Amino acid sequence: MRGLARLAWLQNRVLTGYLGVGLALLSFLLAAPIGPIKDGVLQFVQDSPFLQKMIAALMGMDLGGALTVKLLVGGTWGHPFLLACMLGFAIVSAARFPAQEVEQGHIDLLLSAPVGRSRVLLAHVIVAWACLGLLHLITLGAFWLGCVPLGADAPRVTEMFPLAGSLFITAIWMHSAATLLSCRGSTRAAVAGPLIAFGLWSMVVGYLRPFVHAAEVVAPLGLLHYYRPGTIMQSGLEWWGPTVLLGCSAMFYGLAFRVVRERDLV
Amino acid sequence: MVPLTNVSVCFESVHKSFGQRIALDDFNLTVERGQVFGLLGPNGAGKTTTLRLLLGLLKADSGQLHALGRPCWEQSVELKKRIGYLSADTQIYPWLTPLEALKLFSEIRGDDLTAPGLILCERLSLEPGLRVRHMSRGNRQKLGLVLALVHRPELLVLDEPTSGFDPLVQSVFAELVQERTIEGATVLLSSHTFEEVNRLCQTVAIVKAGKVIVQDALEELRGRAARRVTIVFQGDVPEDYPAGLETTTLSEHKLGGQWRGDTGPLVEWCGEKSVRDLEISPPLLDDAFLEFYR
Repeated sequence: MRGLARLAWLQNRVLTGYLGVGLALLSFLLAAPIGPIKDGVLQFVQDSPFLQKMIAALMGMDLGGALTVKLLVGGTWGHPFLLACMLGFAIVSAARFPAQEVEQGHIDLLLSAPVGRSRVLLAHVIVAWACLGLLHLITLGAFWLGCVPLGADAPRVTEMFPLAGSLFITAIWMHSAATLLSCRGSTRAAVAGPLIAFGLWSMVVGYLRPFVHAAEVVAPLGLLHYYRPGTIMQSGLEWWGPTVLLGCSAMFYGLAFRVVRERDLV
Repeated sequence: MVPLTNVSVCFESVHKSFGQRIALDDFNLTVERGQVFGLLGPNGAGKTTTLRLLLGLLKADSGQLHALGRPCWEQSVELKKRIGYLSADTQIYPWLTPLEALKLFSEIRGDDLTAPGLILCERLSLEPGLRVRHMSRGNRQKLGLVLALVHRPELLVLDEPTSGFDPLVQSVFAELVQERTIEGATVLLSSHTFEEVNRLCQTVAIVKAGKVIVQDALEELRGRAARRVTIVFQGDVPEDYPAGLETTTLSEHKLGGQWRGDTGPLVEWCGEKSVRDLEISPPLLDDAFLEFYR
């Protein structure tokens, strides 16, 4: 198992490294500049209903005139780039086994060793979770540093953990769906294509929700319906969203392990 | 019937299809322990599918497959501890070097294979520090061979192994195969090169359209293969030439044709005639195999 986990880590380390640096910079830079100009920014946003709706769209909540500095910086956790990086990493790492191995022809070498397919898949899943966890911790750390200039207005660490945890569970859902597609397909495109389309659909529906009523109706069919950073910051973690995502993930992983045991790997 | 304890690989009525395309149909094969066994056939005949079924990469639709006394699909993990496999066009992670690959696969196999691996690298003139992304196809194939041989497998499965090897490496490869068979290993190799099979194998199966159409000792096949014969007479060509001689060219003093089997009767007949020159080629294996292919 250690050897398989090392192989999975060797495959993921470069992307994890680059994304870690990118996400640290992003979360720090989105939070840090608000400190010195927080009152001006808050006044500016409160004077603009459109901007309020934009922030509400990013945060997945109804502001109802209750915009605070804490919620403003919390927008970092709903930033499209952050979501794209986390969900994108989940897709890429899940596509490595078996889809990418089959596509690039490494599968013959890997499975000529005395290892079971389920074991290889398990090693990849564990390493992907570890990498995703690391990326979330890096983002959390950089966000906390960026919030230091806010002083008393900064979100507390206890408020940040549910945010990171909720995003982590959303990324796990994406990883489970990608793992299932990877176990059924033989190319990375077969994994990434449908999930990128679904991710974009989720973002569009999620961000249009405050502006278009029809988007609210179809929102449960998108991923962002179950990840609402603003609501978490305002009223704490609502368990139903992560529970739905974790339930689906468990089902997808179960199916993936079953499929990979039985399929032809060519 | 070969006793089961002497059998390394046994396929019985195996069927495998990919959608509408039938890859193997009622496929039967028996490979005895300690043999170098050649699987010969044109592209798309089912050779690689056979080897992948053996490795448990594919699941047969029906039939029985056993290797080293174990079912290939159900016990593939246990089986692969004793099998070494080299694919036709070995693809290895481009960021690895041979040394790193040996360390990684040592960890995966749970046995330190670095030292014997480096000895094999040296014999094959493979630089241990060269990244796979900078390797030629031949060097990649060498690394694949090192990884297939390093754990001293009882069954060596090689899919068109020498494609990409230069003649020097081919001779090292032949030595390595010979050493392994002396140690008691069985070698099953697929090829579409007659010369490779002729040089290495003791037994051959010819595969065509997913079926084994002939399986025999190479010596037997050689014996059945035709030889090219040219006889030049002092005078006119006699009319009573032996029945086994299939004439292809006939002139006033010269007779050309093909002869199958033991050449004794032909030489004897020539001795009775006033022959100026007699030329008999070695058995035309290529032609024999091509006959099966058609």
